[in-house]
Amino acid sequence: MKYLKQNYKRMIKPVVFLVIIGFLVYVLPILIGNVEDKLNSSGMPYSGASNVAVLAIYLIGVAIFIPIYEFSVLKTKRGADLYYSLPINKKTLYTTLYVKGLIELTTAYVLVFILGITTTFIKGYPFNYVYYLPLFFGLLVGLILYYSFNVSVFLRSNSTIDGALFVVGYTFIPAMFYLSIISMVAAFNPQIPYLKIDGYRGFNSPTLLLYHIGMYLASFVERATSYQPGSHHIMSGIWAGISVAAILLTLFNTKYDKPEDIQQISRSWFGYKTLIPIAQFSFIVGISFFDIPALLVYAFIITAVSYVGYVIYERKFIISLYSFITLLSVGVISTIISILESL
Amino acid sequence: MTVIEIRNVYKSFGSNNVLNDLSLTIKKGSIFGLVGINGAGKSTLLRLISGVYRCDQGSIHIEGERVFENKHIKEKIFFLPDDPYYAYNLTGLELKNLYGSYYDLDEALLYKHLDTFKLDIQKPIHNYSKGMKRQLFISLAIACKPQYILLDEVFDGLDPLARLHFKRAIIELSTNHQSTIIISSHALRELEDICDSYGLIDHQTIVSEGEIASILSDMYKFQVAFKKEVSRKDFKDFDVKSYSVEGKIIKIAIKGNKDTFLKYIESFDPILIDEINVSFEDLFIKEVEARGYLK
Repeated sequence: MKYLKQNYKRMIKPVVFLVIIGFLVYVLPILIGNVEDKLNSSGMPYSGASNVAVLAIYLIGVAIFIPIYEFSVLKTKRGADLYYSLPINKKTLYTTLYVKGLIELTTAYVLVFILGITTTFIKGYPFNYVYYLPLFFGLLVGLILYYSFNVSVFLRSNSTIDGALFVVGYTFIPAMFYLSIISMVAAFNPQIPYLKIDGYRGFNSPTLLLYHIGMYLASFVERATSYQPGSHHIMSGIWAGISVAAILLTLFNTKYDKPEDIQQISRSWFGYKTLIPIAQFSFIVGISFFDIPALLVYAFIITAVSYVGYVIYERKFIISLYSFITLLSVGVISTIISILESL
Repeated sequence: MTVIEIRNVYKSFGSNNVLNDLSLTIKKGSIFGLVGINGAGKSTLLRLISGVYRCDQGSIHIEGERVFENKHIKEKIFFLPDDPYYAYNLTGLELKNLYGSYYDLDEALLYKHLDTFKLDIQKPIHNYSKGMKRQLFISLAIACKPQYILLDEVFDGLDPLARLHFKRAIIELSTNHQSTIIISSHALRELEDICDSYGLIDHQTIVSEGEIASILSDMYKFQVAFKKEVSRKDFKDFDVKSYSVEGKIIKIAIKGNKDTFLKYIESFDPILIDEINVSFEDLFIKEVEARGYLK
């Protein structure tokens, strides 16, 4: 607490930066928008008229930026020398930085949200304003959960670049994996009890915690019914559970985090080691709509890109035997699956 | 009284063994010089003592308590690495606030040192020169008045005047506050001025340690010129620590009885015998030479 009190001034800059960005991407379009352009033929707002999708995407960016901004200091040798030598244990150190980031992002969010709703109200958009309250709290919960998830992911790395790539990786790769599973199930139609696919091909990653919550609650604000949540209620619940578990494990189980590993290769199972093969598999299975010759070419290109991923991971061109075998076997297996799907 | 006890410490980074079965004890109020060639493991040892790293094996106790993740003990330790961290655009004042959040910082003492060094702490640290940064961190370290100060390559970038001021402040802290200070440095002459004991790290462990004055008082160094040619073999009965020849003049350092050596040397009817002061640097060079370096 003493640290936060003494250093509150250093929180002002990132908050101001985030509020400016939020104003430009979310508030300004509302301010300069035409109310009539947001209405359908029956005079009601159409789905998306409230600009909440942009707010949700902005908050996704904020929840990616703040963990990297706050925790990158622990991923440099110099920063580690300072923070790990201070009279504070790792749990308290992580919690302090976590709370600092939380204050920054919630402050930015509250300010941008208030600016947005005030502008919307002044401009006279015909929304159901009561529902801005659940929208506010829904997005706040989603923001905290997604931020917590990203903090946990970032701290699995040994360098800022690795951490940033992990966070970005978890934004896209689970969604690609989800789509590849859906396409496999649709193609092979396995008779597995209890396995039901609702056919919703949404973007299923931790970003659902903001995008889905935002879009779902915005539909009440807009009085629009076109947003189809599909399985995303359940998936959001799963990601929320994962986020809570991840942050609790990160803050209360610090014994595996070693300052001596900083700037070394990030070997965590929650990093490159898992993300690269899953990405490779998902992309190759996901291109089954091509004919076989094109599919083989693209599978080769994806495998080559995955090799680059291993080069970044291991920081050398001649990758380890383990990585090489993984690269080849995932490439071959996913290509066979993709060919079978395309038949 | 021993306050820092390092027992059979092992530390490696992957396959690179940095410290191997290292043991060392340091007394309360001591100013301890940690020396060794580049890459010997001095900085790693300081990081282990300060609780930044954890030993793979062995233990480090300060005042009988383990250091790693021990807030109570770490409150008494100030670790100043060779390249200390500061955030971009951070001012000296903000850095003072950061340390003030964790240590019982004596502001009057801090401003006294800052005044001596003529530092403006309102300025961002990245605008300071290397020496000014060092002066700022040293001032902070001293103002925190910790029981244990660990300083890595602390003389780097300091001008002679700043070095003098720093050495005085360190001696004052050790004398008045009974602080135990460990300084890792290659500036051996500076270490000799302030350190009472030393430890030499080589081959991942402490190979030589002791009280500097006591070890140096037992060593003698002479510059001798002879009429006839002599060789090192002629001194085989003595504990020769270093031996060099420049024309007809030899420089020889021995450990043992000075009078016996002088009597022996006079039997060669020398033209000249001069006794030279043995410095800590001589001791260091002797030790590293004995281990196969500098050949």
